[in-house]
Amino acid sequence: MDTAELASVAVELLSSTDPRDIRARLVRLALEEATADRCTLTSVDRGVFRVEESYEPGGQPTFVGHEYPLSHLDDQPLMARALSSGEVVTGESLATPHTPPELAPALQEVRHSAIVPLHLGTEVGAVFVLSRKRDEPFDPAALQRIGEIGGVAVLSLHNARMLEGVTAAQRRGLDALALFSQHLATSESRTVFFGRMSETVGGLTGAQRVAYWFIDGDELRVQPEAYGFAGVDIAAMTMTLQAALSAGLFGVLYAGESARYKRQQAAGPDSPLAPPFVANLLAVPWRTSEASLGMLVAYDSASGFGEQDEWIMRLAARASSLVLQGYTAQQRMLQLQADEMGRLREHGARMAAVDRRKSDFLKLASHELRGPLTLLRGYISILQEGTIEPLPAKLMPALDRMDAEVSRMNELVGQMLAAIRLEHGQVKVEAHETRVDELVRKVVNATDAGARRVVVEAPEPALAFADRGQVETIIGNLLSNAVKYSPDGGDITVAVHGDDTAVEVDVRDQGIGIAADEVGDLFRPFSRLHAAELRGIDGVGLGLYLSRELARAQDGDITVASEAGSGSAFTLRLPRRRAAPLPVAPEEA
Amino acid sequence: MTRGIDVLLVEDDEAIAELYRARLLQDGFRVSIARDGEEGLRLATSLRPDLIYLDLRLPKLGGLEVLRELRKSPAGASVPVVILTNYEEPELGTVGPSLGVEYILLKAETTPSKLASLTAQLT
Repeated sequence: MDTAELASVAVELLSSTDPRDIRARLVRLALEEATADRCTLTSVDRGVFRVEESYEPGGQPTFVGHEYPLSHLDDQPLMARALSSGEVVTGESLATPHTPPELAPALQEVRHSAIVPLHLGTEVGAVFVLSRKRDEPFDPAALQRIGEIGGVAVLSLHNARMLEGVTAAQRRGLDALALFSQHLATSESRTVFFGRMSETVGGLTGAQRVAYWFIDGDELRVQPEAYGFAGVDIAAMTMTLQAALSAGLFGVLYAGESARYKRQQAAGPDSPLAPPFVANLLAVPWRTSEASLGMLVAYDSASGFGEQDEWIMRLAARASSLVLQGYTAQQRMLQLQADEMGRLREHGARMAAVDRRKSDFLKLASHELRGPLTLLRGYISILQEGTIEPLPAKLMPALDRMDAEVSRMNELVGQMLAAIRLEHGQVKVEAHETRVDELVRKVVNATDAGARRVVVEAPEPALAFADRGQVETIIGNLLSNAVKYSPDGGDITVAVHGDDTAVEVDVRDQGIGIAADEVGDLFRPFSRLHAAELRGIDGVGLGLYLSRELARAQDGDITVASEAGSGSAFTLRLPRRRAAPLPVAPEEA
Repeated sequence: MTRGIDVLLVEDDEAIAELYRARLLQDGFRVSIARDGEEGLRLATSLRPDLIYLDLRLPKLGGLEVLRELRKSPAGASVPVVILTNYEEPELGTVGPSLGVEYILLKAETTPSKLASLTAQLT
């Protein structure tokens, strides 16, 4: 081949990005140029020889891929000379005790061999190994030309390999990102996450072991979910922060630096950072934005730890610290929530207890009040009846007054107890079809309206679906209010009417009425009208509250229409019988 | 006018017991008073009264317990019992009838004369 041809070959080779392609073409070219019977291309990279491509005429270039370390050079004087001199070396046999068996038969037949170093700058990047079976030495000029093409070739091979390396690195990086993201998204617990991360880092970096070292007080300890530590007592792997700093780990722990250790450099022969079984390690910082968590350490990669590995590990450490922060934040949130819930529950329980104590006390007090009331009532009645001794007539009004007061006290105690029971849901409604008109008449008859006229307007039977006793209580209350709040007399009308859905009882009086601004509070417990207080009308203010609660318990209600000075009208509304029950589904045949 | 009718009043409040007793005696009834549940049960079985007025909140043994025990014995299975109390127990509505209680009265609304006429009515 002349210069021009050489040039075009060179261009062609340089433009190829496929190392396989380059190698294949190279061995072919070399074989043809040197008219050899066999040509192999062996690369020299970081102390390791790799027989890449091999070619024989009539066949196809085949990828061998066999690796052997530098030490084997001791048995290969030709190779050793070629590498150290950088010059073409020729010889006869190539066979050595280390020759791989698959090449041995071929080598026995070799009469002449040549080793052509291919330079990459000042270094030998690869060698051609040429052999001839026939007993004819190689043409040195041909070997020279091969060397020149080879130089170009090695450059492109190197570029291609670099590109391949970069592509591989890119791929690894993307894989790393994808895997880490997956772990982030799917790990259901811290333990699972750290376990997966350690394993993935191991896989991507080629490390045999991966461990997260975390700072715990003044110690560094290993996260239990470490990778590749089967059979090792991880719990025993601790070191004091002091020792770590003395071992030169300040940079990793606090200054964001990485640290690579080889066996001989590891911090002391017994350092737990590099246990005896470790040959090399890479440590990267593991930190949050605010503090140092510790470090991520990968141990024993067969190919050593490169920049890419460091990049992957830093990424893993970053992801882990985010997760840790996330988990911590989440745990803090959950704790806060739990604390809040706890406080709320406690508060609720306290309030309920206070409530219960209050009502228990009220219940007790109310009942106790009935004792004295019984006696008062009893003795007043005895005096009134004159059974001990007839009393002077002029004392009777006084006794009547006393009786009335005691009665009222009794009523109030009853109302208080009813209110307490209502509040504690102890009131049961037993609803039946009830003749409201009859109830009205009964209550009116039993009520003392003094000098007032009570008119009942209930021309028709009025059936409601309600609890008889409770309706009686309500009507009684409304009626007694009507009486109480018309101290100057006037008529009281009780009208019963209704429509399809409900029965209504209107209780109207011509009394003091209710001011507009007091209507809102009317049904609240213990609320009393100003006017009532002024007029000396007694009461505790529970009647309407109780009545409305009772009405609502029957699915009814009480409403009011009133104006100050012109009387009031209270309306009790009660539901009629519910609509006919839904038809029953026909029985299965 | 002795009627020979025995009334047992189980009531721990002395003043109230006296209030009712005085009036019943006046109307010719023989009145015994028990101050606690145990005494009430004892007297109910030994005296075999014609009518028992029973309070609910009693020392030593509660009124309802007394009633339950009383109803178990042949002597007390059928004696008329009126519950005379100031305490409203929600269960009274159902338990009372099942234990053969004739009436449930609120002391605060029962004057001595009311009690006397009820006693005459029931005996």
